[in-house]
Amino acid sequence: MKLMSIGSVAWPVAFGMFFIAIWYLAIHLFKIPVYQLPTPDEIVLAGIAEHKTLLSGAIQTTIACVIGFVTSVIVAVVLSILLASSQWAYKGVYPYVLILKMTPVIVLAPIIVLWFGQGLGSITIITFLICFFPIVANTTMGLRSTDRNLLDLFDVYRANRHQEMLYLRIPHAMPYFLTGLKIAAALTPIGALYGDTIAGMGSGAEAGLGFVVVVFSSQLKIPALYAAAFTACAIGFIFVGIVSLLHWKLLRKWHDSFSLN
Amino acid sequence: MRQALKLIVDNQLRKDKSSLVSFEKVSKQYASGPQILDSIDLEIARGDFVALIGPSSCGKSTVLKLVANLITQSSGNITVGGGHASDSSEKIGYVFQDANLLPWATAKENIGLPLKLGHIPKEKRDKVAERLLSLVGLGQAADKFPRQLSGGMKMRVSIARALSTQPELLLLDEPFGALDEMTRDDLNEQLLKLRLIQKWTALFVTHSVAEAVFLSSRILVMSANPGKIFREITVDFPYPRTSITRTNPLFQKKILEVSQALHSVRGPE
Ligand SMILES: Nc1ncnc2c1ncn2[C@@H]1O[C@H](COP(=O)(O)OP(=O)(O)OP(=O)(O)O)[C@@H](O)[C@H]1O
Ligand SMILES: [Mg+2]
Repeated sequence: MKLMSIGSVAWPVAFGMFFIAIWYLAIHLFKIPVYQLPTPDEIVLAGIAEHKTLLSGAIQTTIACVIGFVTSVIVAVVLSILLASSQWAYKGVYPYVLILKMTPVIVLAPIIVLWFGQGLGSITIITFLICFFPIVANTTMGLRSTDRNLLDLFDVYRANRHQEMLYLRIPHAMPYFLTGLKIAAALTPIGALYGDTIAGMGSGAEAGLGFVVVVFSSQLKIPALYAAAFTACAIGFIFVGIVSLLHWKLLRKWHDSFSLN
Repeated sequence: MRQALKLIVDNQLRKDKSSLVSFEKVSKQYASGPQILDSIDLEIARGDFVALIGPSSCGKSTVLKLVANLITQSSGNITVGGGHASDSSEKIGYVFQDANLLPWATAKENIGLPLKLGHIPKEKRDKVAERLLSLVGLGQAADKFPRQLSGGMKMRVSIARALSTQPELLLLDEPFGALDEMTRDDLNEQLLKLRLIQKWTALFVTHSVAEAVFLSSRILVMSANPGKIFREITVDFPYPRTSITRTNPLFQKKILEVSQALHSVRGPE
């Protein structure tokens, strides 16, 4: 029942402390100036000084992340089920999904801003797009890769398509879906921060972390810039953490990604 | 009116006495591949325990899939329970070559799956599953997942699942092929015990001559390329058969007879 063993906590903590020690050492040995690499305590102090900006930035970014992520999960799952339910929907639509996937978001972002204007709407859509494809690709793959023998089993007992989807394809696709979800969760803050830099201008107090980063860097507030980067990391970490927890909850009993004991 | 009544009675009579499965000149070819089965004739009466034995890839699984209507024949006629295989209302239980369990479902849920697909409510399913679990000696394993079970236990769950709908006809595709001999003997005996409780008809595919002789009343020996029924051998030891049956010299003689038939099918090696 243990989610994390002592070792899985102790080792990263020990390594982190070692890393911070090297950090200090490097700054002193090589006399690295603060505008290149501040010390951890300078970053913490800057973070405290700028906590209002950072906090409101974090809230904005989190809102964009949550809305973008959740809607992309819903739309991606619905689309995947559709693609897996009909051979011709798959053949007809999936190539376009792939094409859209291969189109870099960097190219799409300015167009999205043209359509939806500056602000949270566009940022959320950019986040949505970045999360969307890993979920669709993985879930569709999972729904379509059911074991032939299990399909035969369902056939023997005259299962209808609805039962086959619900009791066979969807549970089988769960590990694939969760893998897609994990990738998407890690990409979410990237989408939101990138969205900020493209569509976050001029939104003032409602600036997300991406915008905060741009402002700090133009003001040469280097330790604060680092503090903003770590805040963004923390958001990503929480996202991935929640998805990992979900993964553990749903699969730990039966899936081989979790050991037996 | 009387005509219709007579027809119903006739059908009923036929259902009780005559064959449960019948193949008439059945041939099978997958897509544009070679002929797999060539003009097979086959009769299985209610109560029969028929073993199907033959060289690897001669088409044994294909025969089973045809009976279950998982695939359709290229030519010929198949009837199951008097009706066409495709719209037969006969209840079929199918035990697959490997246990073929849902990895995300517990032993109990796996056994209840056919009933779930038949829209039977959960309490009823659980009751049936629990009874079957204790029948196959897995009372303790109800809430275990397949990956927590040994190969033999998985196979027992798979058999219990096939029995959950109280089938008329049980199709078994080398159910014990992957097990060691002791477990296999043990499960063979258990299978015959289960048949004393639920009186299904069986079509059983195996590679093991001893298993075929021990279980069945009739053995069909198939030849390959294309698959044909080469010989039928009757096994007339009375049921119930137990481990003592194995020590009977006549039993050993029967094994020799089937082995020789199988050998002549395979040709000199
Ligand atoms: N879906 C399929 N498509 C094409 N060919 C198939 C298909 N299923 C089986 N075959 C071919 O039909 C032949 C008979 O297969 P089948 O599975 O019935 O053999 P088998 O007697 O059960 O063999 P084994 O003892 O190894 O299980 C094989 O040559 C196989 O390649
Ligand atoms: Mg086979």
